[in-house]
Amino acid sequence: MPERDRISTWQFFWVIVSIIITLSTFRLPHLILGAAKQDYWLAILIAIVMDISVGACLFLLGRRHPGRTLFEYAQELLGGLFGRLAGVAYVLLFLQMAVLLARSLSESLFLVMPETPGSVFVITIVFLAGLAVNKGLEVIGRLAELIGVILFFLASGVPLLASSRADFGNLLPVLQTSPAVIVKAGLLMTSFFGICVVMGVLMAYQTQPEMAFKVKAAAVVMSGFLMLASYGVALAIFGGQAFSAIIHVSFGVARLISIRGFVERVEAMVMALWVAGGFLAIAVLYYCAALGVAQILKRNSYQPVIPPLGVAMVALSLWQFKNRVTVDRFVLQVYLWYALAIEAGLTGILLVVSLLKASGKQTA
Amino acid sequence: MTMQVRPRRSLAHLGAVVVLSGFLITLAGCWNALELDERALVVGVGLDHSRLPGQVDLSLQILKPAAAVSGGRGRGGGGGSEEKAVWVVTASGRTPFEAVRNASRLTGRKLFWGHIEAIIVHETLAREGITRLLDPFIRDHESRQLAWLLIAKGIRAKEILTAGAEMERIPAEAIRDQLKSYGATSTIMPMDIHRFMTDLAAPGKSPVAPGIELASAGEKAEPKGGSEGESKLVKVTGTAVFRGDRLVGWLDEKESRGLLWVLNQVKSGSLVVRCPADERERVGLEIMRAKSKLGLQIQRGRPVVTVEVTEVGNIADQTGRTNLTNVAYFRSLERRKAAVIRDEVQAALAKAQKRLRSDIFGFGLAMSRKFPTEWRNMELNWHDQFFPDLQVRVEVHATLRDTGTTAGPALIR
Repeated sequence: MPERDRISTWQFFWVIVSIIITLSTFRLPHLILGAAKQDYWLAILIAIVMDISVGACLFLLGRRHPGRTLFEYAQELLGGLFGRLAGVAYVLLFLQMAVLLARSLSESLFLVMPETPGSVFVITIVFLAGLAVNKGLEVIGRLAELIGVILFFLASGVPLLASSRADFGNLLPVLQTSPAVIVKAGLLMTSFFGICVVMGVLMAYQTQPEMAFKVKAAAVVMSGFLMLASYGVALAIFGGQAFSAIIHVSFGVARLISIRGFVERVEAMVMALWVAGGFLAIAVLYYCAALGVAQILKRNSYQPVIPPLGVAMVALSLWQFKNRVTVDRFVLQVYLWYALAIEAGLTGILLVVSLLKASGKQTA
Repeated sequence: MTMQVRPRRSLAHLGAVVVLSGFLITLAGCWNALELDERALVVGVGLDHSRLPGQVDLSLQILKPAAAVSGGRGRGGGGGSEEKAVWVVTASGRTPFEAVRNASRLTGRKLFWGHIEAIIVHETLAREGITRLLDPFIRDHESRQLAWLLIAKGIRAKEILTAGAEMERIPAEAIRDQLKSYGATSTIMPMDIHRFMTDLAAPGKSPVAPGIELASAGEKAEPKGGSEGESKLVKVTGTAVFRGDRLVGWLDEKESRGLLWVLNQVKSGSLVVRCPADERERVGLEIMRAKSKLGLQIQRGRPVVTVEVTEVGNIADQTGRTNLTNVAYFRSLERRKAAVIRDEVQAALAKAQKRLRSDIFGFGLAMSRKFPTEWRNMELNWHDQFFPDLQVRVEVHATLRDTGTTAGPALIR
């Protein structure tokens, strides 16, 4: 087993919270929520429920294969070849999300610091994340504990400070979007939240795996509702039309904060969120991907995989996309559906196979 | 995992400390750090028609930090002419952004947009549509979304920017202060860029922006010692009404307050009514608190709006000699001021509904929230068809609470 470190329940909680908070402060979720306008909250609710169900699947799987990760039990359940292919699918999912996060980070910082080359941000953050991954799960867990709390306060601080400008009448009218649009938005949001399938990896090394589901559900509910609230404030501030036109929601909201004309321009809070959260989320995904590769190849150590993966991530974040518009198209048309198929579909298949095998054993 | 401190470790730690200290020095600054004295701080922006066809003139009021600090606010001793704290540069371009970059060539320093207080657009330019002018200021990450938007009335925006100010060394800040203290009369509607754009995007609501002009002769500041009568004062007054993003007309001060009553933005102000004891005399009433509520119904397929204004105030002054402290006079005064308030609201309604056909009150927006299904049929024709004929009931509840610290007018024996 390439990992001897353990992650505590509390640290696991903050890993999940940090990932969702980080995602919600980048602009990507707005691609979906913007279209849903006043019904954005329904999409988030759908995603919360769906993601908790995925969490339940992973929990059952994890309990049936204690001490084993997603990659290991996939091979047990589906056999060598298909199990490895399934593992590869998860690794690609984690990598692509990490690449999208690195890309979002450099894109967002580029907005504020247009003269700094984007590659500087990407290389620095991936390099640092690689160092953390190299040190193992314990480092990441402790980082999450530290950074997660800061993220939570920053992410709730921005909408709170901005709420004086909010006209909550803008949240009306509700239920004017067509059900098809809402369901689609809900599914796409699910694939964002669904990146929490990292649970399938981390649970194997949790000190109290029996708590995994409760903690995961609590983390998703907490961060999901924080996202709901902060997008609510944004919608109340901008009104439905302008809300769907804006690109960087959290940044746009932070720009409007003015406390008695004295405290202004607190965009730095959001930038801190981007950097700290982006770093942590990338580290977690990087770790899962590296561990996955090692376990698929049945290596004793995942450390050798770290540099090549890092190079791949940097290269992809710099060159996979030409500009923001191509990122958007890829996310909406390819990535989210791929993610949904893996997170919900593949995980579901694993659970079904696991249940069938168990019942087969009992009858035999 | 227990940490054992061994000599070799502590050497490694020392190495780490040295390396990290190196980072501390090299990484603490930004990539593209620019010191304050290498930048030019823009505090005000003015947009006018250019003499060149199809171009706009962009004037920037730029802060001169040295002059702003060293000149001080006090009188410069010995009659030396006070140096102005700002400098106004004008450049033109086919788009505002091109004009900005052309202006940068004149300033030599990199412009910084984080301190813009006011963006002033000339009236006739605003009549041709304003979003294309504001676009670069909304897109740019540096520019303040909380900058105030004003429409220069009958005068070039550049002249507003070059006019002086008495209380502040930076004229743009004087404009800001006038907007911030709007509550003294509640006859202007302060509007920042963000709110303007939000209103513009909202269904069933037209944006407004306050006007700005040079103060008339009577309000002119005394010229500063020795110099020519150059000192002109700017005055924020009136309300520019938009339809879509085009200016279509103006509300005067009375109509503006009518608008503010409906929008629940009246803070304070004075109401003047005729004295109930003697119709030749007048009584000044101070607005202490005001609140308004919109009610919406659909009656026989047509929307009906109720505006309910609640106002509480005191007697501030009177020209007559009658002591008005009794229930009958109070009641009469309340009726009179309710009539004044209703008159202001009606004036604003009449102008917006009949003359300008622009729903600056947001009745349509309220409809879209309360009756989304019915709204869909009205949305397209709202400003042309439904809003001008909209039945608006105005209910005013005005209360007179007190007379200040004295019961009646000063006594004369």
